Amino acid sequence: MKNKHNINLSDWIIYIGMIGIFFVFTIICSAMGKNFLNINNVMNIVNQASINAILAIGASIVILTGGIDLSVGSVVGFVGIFLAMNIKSGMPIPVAIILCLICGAVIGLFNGILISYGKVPAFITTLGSMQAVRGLAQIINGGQAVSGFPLEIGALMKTKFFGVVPIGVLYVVVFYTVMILILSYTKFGRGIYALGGNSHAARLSGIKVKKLEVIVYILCGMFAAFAGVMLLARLLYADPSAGSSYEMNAIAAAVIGGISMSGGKGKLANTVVGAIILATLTNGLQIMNVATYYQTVITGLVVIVAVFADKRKERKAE
Amino acid sequence: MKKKLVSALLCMAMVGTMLVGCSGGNEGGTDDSKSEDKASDTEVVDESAEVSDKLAEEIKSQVPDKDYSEYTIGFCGMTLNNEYHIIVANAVAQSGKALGMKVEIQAGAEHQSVEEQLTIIENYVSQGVDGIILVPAASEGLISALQECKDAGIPVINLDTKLDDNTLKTLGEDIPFYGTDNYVGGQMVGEKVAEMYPDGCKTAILRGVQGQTNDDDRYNGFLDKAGDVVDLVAEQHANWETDLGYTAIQNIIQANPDLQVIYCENDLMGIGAYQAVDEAGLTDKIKIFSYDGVTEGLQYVIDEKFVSTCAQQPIEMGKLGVVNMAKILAGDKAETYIDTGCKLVTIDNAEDTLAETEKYAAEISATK
Repeated sequence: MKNKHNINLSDWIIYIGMIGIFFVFTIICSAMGKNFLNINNVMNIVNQASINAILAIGASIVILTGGIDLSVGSVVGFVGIFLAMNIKSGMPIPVAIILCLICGAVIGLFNGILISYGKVPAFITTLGSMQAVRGLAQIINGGQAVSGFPLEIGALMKTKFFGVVPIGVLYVVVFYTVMILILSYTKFGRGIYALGGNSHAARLSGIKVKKLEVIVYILCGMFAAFAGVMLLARLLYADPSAGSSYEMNAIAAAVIGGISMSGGKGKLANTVVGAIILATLTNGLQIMNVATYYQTVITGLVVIVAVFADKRKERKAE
Repeated sequence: MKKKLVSALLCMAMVGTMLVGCSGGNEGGTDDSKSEDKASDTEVVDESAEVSDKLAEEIKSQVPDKDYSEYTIGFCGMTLNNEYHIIVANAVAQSGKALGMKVEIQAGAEHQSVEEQLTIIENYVSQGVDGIILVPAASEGLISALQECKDAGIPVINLDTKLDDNTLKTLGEDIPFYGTDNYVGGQMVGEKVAEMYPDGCKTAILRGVQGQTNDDDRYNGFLDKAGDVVDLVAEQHANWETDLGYTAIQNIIQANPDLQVIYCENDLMGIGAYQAVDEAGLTDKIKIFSYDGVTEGLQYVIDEKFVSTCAQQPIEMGKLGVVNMAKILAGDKAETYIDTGCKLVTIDNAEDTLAETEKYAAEISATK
């Protein structure tokens, strides 16, 4: 009975942490006469978190299989340029977006095949594709940014429902709901956990491990491509360097959410909280006008504290 | 089986594209393995392009008469992922070509890639280039590379971002610098703001990468002229990037709904700032003053999304770099300091400036 209580607490620790951060920021901000806790700013935070949250879905499922994908930031940059060039040349927006998702899938397929069939470590494969894809992003338009394309694409990020809820929130809710259901209730989802937990056992139990791994990387690439579409729609300006180091933010969100780097353990639902915590930190600290470099320090410390708190359970078990 | 075949083909296609992408840059010559992953950057500058006669004449008229075809100069740029720096690189490449020199172009992957620049310069030194033209990614931190150049007797010319005085003092050498006095540019923007808001205004500043002289100068120059007038409510380092500028301004607006002025130290951050202001529906209340004068920035001024931007002369810098490097190689003295100047671009002169920039850019990317 006591044991059960403990597990419950650690399951909720990330939510407690998030509420704690909100609480602290609300107090400090109101002491400074700034407005932190209101519906507008909460939506603001979720909207700012949305791109990272989408990337973090991919990061989470890849990490759950015991792998890692460092190429997603480059995919974001590549897709931005590719999409902007295509719609500038008159391609209908839906077609252009589908092409981008295909690009993301192909890059994921490339990563997945090398990792599963080629036995190249995920870190190395995706480190390589990270650089190669970033190079491609610069090559396709000669290193130049793209602008002057039809601005209708902005509706994908700038639409608001009921005047307050940004469309980014909708993407997060839909994609997370779908992926959480897949992870919990399908053979594919259980296979991901099994693979990350013990790949040998997973293979023996009849899971097509290699195929599953490839699909996971394809999904990760597609989420990254979608995040690239979102970023372009938000900024209406495609820069080949866009999305650099986004992979680290995505991994950080997954890790804060309690996804174990060794694979097989963690809940996708908590990843979105991780992404929101990261966005909240930037938002709150910037509202307080804290100098930028302190923000980096504070964010880094929070990542460490979050993982430390999350591992409490495992340490106790030992 | 069919599926496997398809996936194998797709895989090969992907590998093929990447290999092509990665190997293309080595045509330039003696790149060693370390610079291979930067090969994509080299692609940006079209080395096969011929130089227009006009440019060739202009450059030749400024240097001592001599055969320069023996010489190789290495250009180490800050980055090649934005228009401004590409123009500097193109100007150097084309001007060098005008003299028949071999020009190698390398740059860091991002604005603050100091370590990559160290590697690039070390590679240039070991290749034995005859001169190095440098746009430093940080005003400090390149001392060891510069020391190597000095020891190897390779002349260095500094463009755009000035190496700081301490670095030069430590090095015990004066490195020629041609670029804009960013402090003066900052003052111009400051004057404009002070003139438009004589009774003061709530102001936010988006700054670049901390530690770069450009950032400090643009900031201090602005405050020198506008500091008494403006009420500075927020400042954030958005590292010259569009997405960081966007997020920072969203948050700053949240904290200061009555904000009136945003000063962005470059156009990329300005573009992000405008998107955030536009989304908040505050374009009537918040005015953006930008800096750099890249084509998109000028377009924003024409569209009245920016009140002004401060245009620099990247082409002039590149030309001066090569001309003076040629002088050094010919045994003459180079100019130690040239202010290439900058001008405040507003709605009145934005269209002209844009046309001029495009013309210049066309001239520099040359007739094929």
